[in-house]
This record gives sequence, C-alpha cells and structure tokens, in this order.
Amino acid sequence: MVAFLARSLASLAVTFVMVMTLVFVAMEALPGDAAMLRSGIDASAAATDAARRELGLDAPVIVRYAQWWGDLVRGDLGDSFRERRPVTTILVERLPVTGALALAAFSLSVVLGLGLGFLAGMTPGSRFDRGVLGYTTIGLALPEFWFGFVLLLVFAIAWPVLPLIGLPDGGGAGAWLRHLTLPAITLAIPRAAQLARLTRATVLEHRQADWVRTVRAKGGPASLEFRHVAANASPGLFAPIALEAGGLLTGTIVVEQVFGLPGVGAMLIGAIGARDVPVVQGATVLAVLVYVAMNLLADVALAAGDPRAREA
Amino acid sequence: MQWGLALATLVLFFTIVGPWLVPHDPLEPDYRALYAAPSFMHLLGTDGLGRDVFARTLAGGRVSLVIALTATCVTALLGTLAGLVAAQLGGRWDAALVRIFDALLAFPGFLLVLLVVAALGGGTVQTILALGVAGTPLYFRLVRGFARTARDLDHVQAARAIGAGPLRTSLRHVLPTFLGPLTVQLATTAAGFLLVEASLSYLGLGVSLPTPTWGNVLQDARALLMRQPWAALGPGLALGMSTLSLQLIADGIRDALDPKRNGTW
Amino acid sequence: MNHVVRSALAALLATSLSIGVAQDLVMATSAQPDMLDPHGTSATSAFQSTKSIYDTLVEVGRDGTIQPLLATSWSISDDGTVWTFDLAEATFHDGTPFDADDAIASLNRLRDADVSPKAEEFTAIREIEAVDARTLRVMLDQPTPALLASLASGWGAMLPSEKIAANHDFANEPIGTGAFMFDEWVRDGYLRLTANPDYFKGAPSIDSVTLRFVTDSAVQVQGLLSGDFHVIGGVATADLATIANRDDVTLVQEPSGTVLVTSINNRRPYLDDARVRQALNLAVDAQTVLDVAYGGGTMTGSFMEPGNPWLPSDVEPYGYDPERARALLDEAGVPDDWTLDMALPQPYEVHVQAGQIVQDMLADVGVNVEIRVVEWGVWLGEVYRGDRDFDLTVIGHTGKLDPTGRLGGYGDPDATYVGWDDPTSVSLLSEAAAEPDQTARAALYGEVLHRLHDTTPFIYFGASNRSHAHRANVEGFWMTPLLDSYDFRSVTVQ
Repeated sequence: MVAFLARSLASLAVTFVMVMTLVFVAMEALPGDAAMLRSGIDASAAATDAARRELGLDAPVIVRYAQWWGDLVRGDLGDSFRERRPVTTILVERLPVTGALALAAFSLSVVLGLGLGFLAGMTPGSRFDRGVLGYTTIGLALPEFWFGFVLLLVFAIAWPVLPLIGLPDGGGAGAWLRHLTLPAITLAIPRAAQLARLTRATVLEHRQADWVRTVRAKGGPASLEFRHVAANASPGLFAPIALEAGGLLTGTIVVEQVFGLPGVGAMLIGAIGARDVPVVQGATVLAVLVYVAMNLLADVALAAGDPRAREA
Repeated sequence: MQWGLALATLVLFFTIVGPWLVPHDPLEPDYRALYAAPSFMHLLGTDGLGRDVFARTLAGGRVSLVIALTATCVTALLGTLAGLVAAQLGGRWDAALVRIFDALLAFPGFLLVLLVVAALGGGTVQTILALGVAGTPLYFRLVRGFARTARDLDHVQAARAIGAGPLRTSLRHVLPTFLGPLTVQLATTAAGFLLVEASLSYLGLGVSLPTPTWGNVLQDARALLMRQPWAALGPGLALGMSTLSLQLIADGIRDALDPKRNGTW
Repeated sequence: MNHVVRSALAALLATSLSIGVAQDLVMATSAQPDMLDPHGTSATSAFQSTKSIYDTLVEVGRDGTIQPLLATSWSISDDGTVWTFDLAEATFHDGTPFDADDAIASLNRLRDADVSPKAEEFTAIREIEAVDARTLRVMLDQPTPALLASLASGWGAMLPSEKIAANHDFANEPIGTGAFMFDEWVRDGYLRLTANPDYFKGAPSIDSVTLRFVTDSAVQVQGLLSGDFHVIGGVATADLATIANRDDVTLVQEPSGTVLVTSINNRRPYLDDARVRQALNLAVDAQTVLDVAYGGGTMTGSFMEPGNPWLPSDVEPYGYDPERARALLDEAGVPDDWTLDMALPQPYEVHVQAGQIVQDMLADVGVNVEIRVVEWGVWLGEVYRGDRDFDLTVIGHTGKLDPTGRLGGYGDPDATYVGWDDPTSVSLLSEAAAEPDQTARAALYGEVLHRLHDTTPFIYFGASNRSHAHRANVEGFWMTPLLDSYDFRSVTVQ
C-alpha cells in the first residue's frame, strides 16, 4: 500500500508540473494585452509601457516561466494584475463562498443520489423507480444553468421565497443558508442524478448476487436484505463520489455566474476576460489540486477495496 | 432505444428541414416586433432585435449539433488512434503516452475547455478543437484498455502469427472487438459536448454572435428570463431532446451488447 | 429654558427619526471598480465609486458647470499660466487635516506616468507650490484651459500626503476627504461605504451606502421592483416600459455625454474614400439603431453629443437615405462583393446588438459585413490600439468635460484608431488647446467638428439616454453630467 501511494503521488507530481506548464502556455497564447487593460482605454503609450513594466510583462517568456515556478514552490502565486494584491489573499477571500456552495451541493447530491438510487434499486419497476428514472433522465439532459433559470423563475420571481442573488451582505448563517439554497440545488441536480443511476445499478447488481437471493429465498426480513445490499454496494460507490467532489469546483464556475456569487469561479471568468494571468493560474492551481487530491482518494479507495487495482 | 432513435430522428428532421419550414430568417431583424410574445407568427416570440426565437432555435440546432458531433469525431479519432498506437507499441512509448494523457485526465475537463477556448478565441472551429482536445484522454484510456485485452484474444494472436502487420492487426482485428462499447461512449460524449457548448456560450466564451447556437439562444433568453420565460423554453427543450435521444441510444446499444443488463437503466 | 426645550425636541426628533434600523441605501450597478485608487485607474466604474470617498479640488455640478469643492475659489493669471487655488478646511478619514501639501503630493502623484494613466493631462504643469497651508499655486508652461476639467474629473482626487509618502495601498484601502468612508469591498459582491460624520460640507443623511455588483440587468430590475435595491444604475431597453409603468419606482432618463458610433478604419481600401464613409452614414438609420439597441437617444452629425455647447448648431445628422448611399458607393467604384470585417466588443451587449443592426442595414445597400465578437482585452489590444485590425467596430466614446479629451489626436492618422487623416484639424486642435479665450476656442473646435462631419471617420449614431431608476421614496440621488459618477451626498430615504 505504501509503495502504491508513493507511486500515485509521484505520478501526480508529474501530472501537476505538466498541467501547470499547460496553463502557462495557454495564458501566453491568450490574445489581448494585460498592460493595455491595466492602463485603460485613454492611456498614453508611455502609461501602457509603465504598466507593462509594473506587471513584469517586459521580461522574456522563459524568465517569467522560471520565476513563476520559483514563486509557486514558495507558495507565492504572484499578484493579481487587476487587483494589485496577492492571488493567495484573493483566493482565501473567495474560497469560503465556493467552498460553502460546493459543500452544500456535495452533501445534497450524495444524500439525494444515494437515497434515490438505493430505494429505486430495491424496488425495480415500481412507480418510485420510474419516477427516479424520469428525474435522472431530465437531470442529465439539460445544462445546469438552465435548471438555475427555472429555479430562479419559480422560487425567486413567481413565488419569491428565496433571494435572487447569491451573496448576503451580512446576516449570519441563516442568511447564507437561504442564499445558497438555489445555487446548491442547481449544482446538485445533475450530480445527484448521475449518482442515483450508479447507485441503482450497483444495488441491482448486488441484489442478484447469490447470497442476497439466499437471504430473500429463506424469507429473511426485508431489513436484513436492505442491510446486506447497502453494506456491499457502498465501497464501490466511494470512488465515484470522490471523483464527483473533485469536479464540483468546475461546476461552480457556471452556477456562480447564474446567481452572481463572488466565488472562485466568478473570479476565474472575470480574470480570463481581463487577461489577469496570475489569477487564472491561481484558480487553476487550486482546481487541479482539489481534483488531483480527490482522484488520489478515489484511487486509494479502489485499491483498498480491491488489491488488484494496486497493480495497474 | 426505439424512443431514442425516434427522438433523434425528430431532432434531426427539425434541424435539417426545419429552417426551411419557418418563414423567418434567424438573422433577419424586425425592428417593429421587438420582444414579441408567442403568437401564430412567432411561435416562441422574438428577441431584442425582433428575430424569431423559433427560427433561431432551429438554426441554432444545426450549429450546436455540428459542433458536438464533429468534436466527438475528433476526440474519438485522436483518442482511438493514440490508444491503439500505445497498445500496439507498448514499452516506453506506451508509458510516455499514458503519462501525457493521465496528466490531461487529471485536469478538470470543463476547465481545460475553458482555457483552450480562451486561448484560441471563440468560434465554431475553436470550440470543436477545445472539446476535441478535452475528450481525448478518456478515449485514449478506454481504447488502450480494450486493445490490451484484445491483444491476447486467440484470433488476434492468430492474425499476428500469420504475419499481419501492426496496422492491419489494429484496425482489422483489434478495433472491431470493442466497437460496440466505443459507440456507447460516442453517444454519451456527444450528449456531454452539447451541454458543454451550451455552458460555454452561456459564459460568453463559445461561438460568437450573431450565429445562433442553442447556447447562444439560451444566453439571449437569460436576459429576458423575467419578461419572456418562454424564450428559454424552446432551445432548452430542443437541447434536452437531443441529449436525451443520445443517452437513450447509448443505453439501447449497451443493452443490446449485454443481454444481462436488459431492463436496467 | 428655550435652549433646553430645543435640545429636548431635537433629541425627541432624532429618536423618532432613527426608529428601527440605520438607513442603508442599496444601489445595484453592473460595473465594478478595478481599484479604488483614483490616480491609478481610468475606469468610469472606479470613479463612480471613488466620487463618494474622495473629493476633487473642483467638481461638476448638476448643470454641468464646474463648481468649487476642496478649492473654495481660484484665479488664473492674465497670461493663463499661473493658477491659484484657495483651499477649504476638510479632514481626511484618517483624521489628518487637508492642506496645500496634500494637494501638492496628490498632483505630483498624478503627474507620475508610473502611477497614473492620466499623467499626460498634467504635463503642462511646471511647478506646484504652497503659498501657505490654505493656498495652492500651480505654474504652467503654457495656457492650458483644459486643466480645470482634469481637476474636476474623478482622477483629480486629493489624497493625504503622509499616506502617499508611506506608499499606502489606496487601491484596496481608500482614504479621502469624501462624504463616505470605505468599509468593505467584496469583489463581485458589494462595496460598502459608511457616512462620514465630519464631512466638510455636512454629513450625509443616510448612514451607509452599499453598492451591489449585479451584472444581470434583469436581476437589477427584479431587485428594484421587490424593494431589495433602492437605486439601480442601468435599465435595459427591454425593461424601460415595465419601470415607467410602476408607481413605486421612478425612471430617470437624462441625456448622456457618450457618443455612440460605428468607427471606420480609414486606412482600409475604399474606406479611405470620404464618399464611401458618407455613404455608410446615409445607409444607416441612426434613430432606429438608437431606439432598438440603446433604448432611445438623440442623433448627432459629428463627434460630439447633441446639446454640447461646443457643437456648432449647424452640424446636422446625416439622415437616412439608402438611395444616395448606393449612388455614392457606385461613384466610388466599390465592388459588388465588397465585404467588411466588423469587430464588436464582447462585454458590451448594446454595441453587439447595434453592430448586428448596422450589418443588416448595410446589406440593404449591397455592403456585406462579417461580424467578429472579440473580448475586451482583444478589442483594446488589436482594434483600438496595436495593429488596429478591423474595418468597422461599434463603440461609445464617453463624455468628456473638455473637448481636448474627446478630440485630441483626431486628424493625425497614427494617433487614433480610426486613422482619420486631416492635417488642418491637427493644427486647429493644437491652437485650441492653448487658447485661453473661450469664444476663440469654441470657433476652433467648431471648425474641427465641421470637418469631422464632412469627411467623417465614423458612422454617427448619436447619444443614448442615460437611464437609472430608484424607489419612489428615495430622493436626492443624481449622476454627474458627462462623468456619470454617483452622488449620494444629498440622498434621503423616506
């Protein structure tokens, strides 16, 4: 297991270097000029040159690449072109919003997905099963922002019980909860659907296993069958759940836009538009770290459950 | 499966023939009919330039479907090719390819598309490229896995034994063993790409206006959400029907390949 | 006795007025500042907020004229090169008093091109000195009548000299003498300011202002109607009717200083022919463009908004005449399959709309237009500056207090993005910039504006209306003419 972990970590490190290089190259390739954006539409050529020097954009690419890695290793993500503050500060400021949203959406999709999938799997062909089928079909057929529209329309406009925009200006946990409800549901809809499908399939598979049939044939109580299936189906679902968690961060990009939430995703979109390279890099570092960590977790979970997986 | 094919036929019919059936040009503004409500003339009303939303939805389907389907082909072609090569060559080449694609796979897919589109600029070709690149690692992993299993199959070994070259072995003997599962994945990927295209356009990073795509028409509808909720309905429905049909087809093929799975979804 | 009764009454009134919560004004606006250091930015969205935090020496009044603020009065020497300002007694938010040293430090910071993108506007300044703590003297190399406009603009803000010397981070922690003090800024969320009880022109009547950044205009309107927002900074064309029909909200439409145009790249083949550019003007129904894309407005025939005193009254809009447009295009020998490349700035939905209308109208006279929507950074770097890679683009030129701001560089083919080549205008403009006599100056600018009409580098639309809306119980909110800054100083909420 230790050797497996070491191997995974080493390969992840290589992955990380490649990915970050890719980000650097992508940002270099971006058309548009951060110095011009920085100095503004009416700025003179001298002012734009001054801005270019200030942003450190006058150095050759290779020097900037080396510098960037040097800073990154020291935990310094550089200063935002636009905000003139350290990217780490900005990330720390925005992470709570995205984190809270992701956590709420994650809990919701796990509870909903496992619950619906399990119950549907235990009662195949029932009306409930067909209802879940309907939900998962629709939930996976439309982009999440469209569900955001519908939720806004219903719960914030037609029947205004929840706020239109994402961020409370104070008001404590209660206000936060109210403001995060619609975004979290939006984010959870396709994810819970995905998980419900997977759970149902896994449950069905295990119900067909010999020993479960034995329990059923012997007339054991339904709760016993329930317990057996749940206990055996759960480990297999752990990896997909971990992967789901890793991907949540990118899901927040669109949802934050729909609800006007000032999180990491909104920051990334704004930074792409403004050619704020350090911020895009910072957001990517964060997303990749989370994603990679969750991948690792999934690998470990798989390996723990199945020794054969450690070989690959 | 039948439902899937029927839906797909319906969607294709409307996107291919539809634009000729609607008496409006999706790009032609009508300054006397801005923000019109649905009527017999304009089934889904008009947008802020007086353009017929129904006509734009139909025309948008063409672009969206072309993007999603082309990008699926691109990604499948690249991924399959790389996967077959890796499986065939083995050794150091295989290891290097695995490393590269694992790195790409460790990149959150949507973020990758976002960055590539940002770097290349918005547009049909750019979007296809971005989607194609982002999907490749998955196909690589899939095909390489399949191909490695197929290598050990009797008839593949036999083909090699009688002197078939690596190219011939790969294409004639290895590839057919997993064409079925690959097709399932193709349908799923196409559905996913349709959704990603819509999200990209929603973020203002996809195909640029005035070209209608489902994403662009939905993005327009966003601004009118409170006044004209129906404007979001049409393209949403069309998009949903397309992804749904692709999913049903994928499920159908999967069932056909694996009779044990019958009755599950 | 009298005194006791009065203070008791005052106390009673005060308590009865402050029943309930502190009065917070919430305004929704789409554009967020890039920073709160007024010397480091040139973004209108930044000056809209910094207006409340910082004061300038002079400011623009509601009638558009320049009024005293931190400078209570000023005088200009006969040769126009020595300006003397008498300074008001005011206090910065950090408690230090405002005096001539602060004004000197602020102006010097503005002149530093490494700090300020506006440094060029202050190059005529030779020396600045403090006559005494309350008197500032500015010496110029040559008469510069436009300087007063620069001082009244958002970037002319006065900052505390001690903090400037200490390299304070004004971008994130602004300190000024303004009516409101910085409290908190959550990016993409909100900016909160609290009332400055010691404001030198009297404390504002509301306790705080929260500017919420809401990019979606539909959400802004919904929030206004539901009462979540007191004021919204922009109203989309589609919402004008909804808001105008409601009793509990008030729609305010004022003329704006922004001149909306389709800019023509005068360097390109056929577009270098004035007849072709005139034809394009005649082919576009400017009023329809204004109505459909910009929610209404007034047409103009030159590069200045209608109603601006510098615009000669005999400059008329081109008018819509596709017949004559076709004839002129034929005369210029424009080929049948002529196709133009139109670059549109992505973040500005209205310009993208307008561009699509122009595309449609030009098609009617046989000119094909291919639209390319580009991001703002690309637009700035490749259209407005850099390679100037475009045939047509649609943009608004924001209001300027002085015509130099608007017209500077026009006529010199390399100085502006449209590449309009008119040496006569160049010499007229440089003459006007140093002309202290207002009438003579007006005549010079009038001549340039005539030339900008005749051999036009633009397709002129006109100026749109500037719309904002507020709850009916909100009074005293206004936006600075031409600069579009928000003024909350006299706002009351009933």
